[in-house]
Amino acid sequence: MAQRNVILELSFSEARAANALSAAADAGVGAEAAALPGLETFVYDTSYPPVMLPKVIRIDTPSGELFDTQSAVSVTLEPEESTYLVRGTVEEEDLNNLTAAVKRREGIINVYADPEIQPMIVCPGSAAVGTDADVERLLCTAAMRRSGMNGAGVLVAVVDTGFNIAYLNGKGKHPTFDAARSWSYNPTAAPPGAVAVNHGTMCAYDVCIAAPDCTLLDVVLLRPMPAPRPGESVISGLLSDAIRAFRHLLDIMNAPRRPGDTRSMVVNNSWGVFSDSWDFPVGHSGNYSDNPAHPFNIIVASLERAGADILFAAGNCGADCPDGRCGGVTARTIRGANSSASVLSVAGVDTTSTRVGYSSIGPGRLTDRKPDISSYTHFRGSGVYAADGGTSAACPVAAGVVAAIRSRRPFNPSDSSTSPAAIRSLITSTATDLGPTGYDYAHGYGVINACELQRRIAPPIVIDNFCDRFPDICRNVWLCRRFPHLCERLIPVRPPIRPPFPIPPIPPLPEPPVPRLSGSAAMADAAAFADFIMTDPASAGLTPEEAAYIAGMLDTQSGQPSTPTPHYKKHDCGCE
Amino acid sequence: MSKLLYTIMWDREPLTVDAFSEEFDVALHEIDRDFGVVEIDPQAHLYAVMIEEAAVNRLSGKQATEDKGVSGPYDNPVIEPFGPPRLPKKGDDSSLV
Repeated sequence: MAQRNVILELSFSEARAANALSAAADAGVGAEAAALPGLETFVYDTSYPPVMLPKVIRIDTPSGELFDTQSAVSVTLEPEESTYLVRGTVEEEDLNNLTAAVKRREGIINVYADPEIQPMIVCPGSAAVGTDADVERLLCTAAMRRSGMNGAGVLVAVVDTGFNIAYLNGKGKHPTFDAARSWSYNPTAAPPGAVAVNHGTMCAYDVCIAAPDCTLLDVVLLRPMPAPRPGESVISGLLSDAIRAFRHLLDIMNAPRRPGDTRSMVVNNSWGVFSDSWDFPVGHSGNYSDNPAHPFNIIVASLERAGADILFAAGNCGADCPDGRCGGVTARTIRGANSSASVLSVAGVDTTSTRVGYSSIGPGRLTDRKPDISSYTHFRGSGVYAADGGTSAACPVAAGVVAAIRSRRPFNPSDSSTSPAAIRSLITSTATDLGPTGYDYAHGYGVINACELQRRIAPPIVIDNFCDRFPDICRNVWLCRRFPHLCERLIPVRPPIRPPFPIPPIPPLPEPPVPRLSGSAAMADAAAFADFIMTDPASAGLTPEEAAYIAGMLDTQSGQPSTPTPHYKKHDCGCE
Repeated sequence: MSKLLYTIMWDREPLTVDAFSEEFDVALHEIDRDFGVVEIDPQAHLYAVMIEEAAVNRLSGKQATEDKGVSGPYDNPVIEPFGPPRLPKKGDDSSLV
């Protein structure tokens, strides 16, 4: 039989007031029998002690509105003036009897519903949760950039409506744009990099959150279509256009490389099929959603075999609040390539790592364990929309992380540890688990954990024999203060000294000496060190600018310190 | 007339629109020239092509689907961006699911 959770408001009694006060002082105190009036059909929750509700003694409502939020409210905290809330349950059929009994009983003021409450879930139309700055913080992008994980040298193909590079620049995003290798269904009507600001621009912006130095390819696939109703905007395309676009990307992957060119390409796809009614029926040999032999599913697998990291949004047909285009269907909605084993399928969570209610839930149609991971969405970012929302935004955020990884781990056809499958495995194995323990169909393996990925890809370098190799540099206090990870093995650990009493004032630290090298051996060390950090700054945990600055300070030509660049101050040691 | 999506297994020289037209006896105007002949799996020598239904019927009449490695038709569904999510329209009960 159904039960109702109910709150009772009781008037003052000494026993209730004492019970309430003792519970306020001790969280282990529950409701005492003396504080509870006997009521048939009502079962008290004795774990919930009476809660004192101060009496409102004056409401200044000039407008006469009872709930005027501008009005002045005064309350009294006197126990005798207060009322007391307790809770319990009543059978559904006895609720009316309880309400009637309460009216007759002195000391019981009213009965209120005590409904179950749940965290608010993000749905279509919800306000943005956080900003792209929050996403940057969650992804540890500062640490990634210091480690050379910034998308540099990596092609990111945004397969979408096209983006507007001028808009991105105006928003502070300055990726390289490769117009020559971009593609459009109609280069005249929709020139890559110069289309109207729309969905694709949002995706490109979100890629740049984790991969600001990537090289963007604009693959203009989706286009404005005649809207069925005035005022509506419809952007769509046909899957055959996507086949052509992917063929173009396959040609890029298979093209001869110049020396030094990497083969890394990340492909973002924030689109798909919303409804089975858009597809041939399940079981038809030409069906797309369930059919790995469909030409598009084949070319997706071909592009992945060629070394591209392909990401697809999982979709927006989640059970809590699906997109209106889902037609009310929320089961098995991760269709076709969005569920391919060759791609990373991306679900959406907000910046509190709570799944957004519209994010599609697995299993996938082609592969059971889809989505693979969750990524951040529904935040204020690009400014194209009120919120960068949908799994559409989650996907490029994750694509940017993949591009950042590829800056340090470029695809090498002869190294299986750099294959797209290996990168997918790295991402899923480091994800932060959400929901039930382990994999689940709502969150995949969890939310992408770029902080852990940064630690895995570019762990802080401690050069074990640093002191042996660079003894003069090691004695350089300035350097060790500024870059402690280089020197942490070098600073001797001294036993603590028990100070005499009273403790004398601590003298100010002496000015840290700047590098001052002398002698040919020291000069050779400095030259070797400068060469070491300039050749591969990232492996020493330095940015190129930091490496150049240190090398300049060491000034191996003269043996004397040079003038620091204005970018760094003399005392900017970073470790005090 | 609408064109349908087919795949062709072709392990000789790279397949072009002209070669496809000649080999499969399909007139050039029956082939979607914008789409062309797209190699979708280089390892399997598999191509995709879009042709008119009438041509498909002729191909079928010749049992080309089996003899010449042609398979299809495959669906060419509409695709749309996954964001921002849209609210259901009035009368749409999807939010109740």
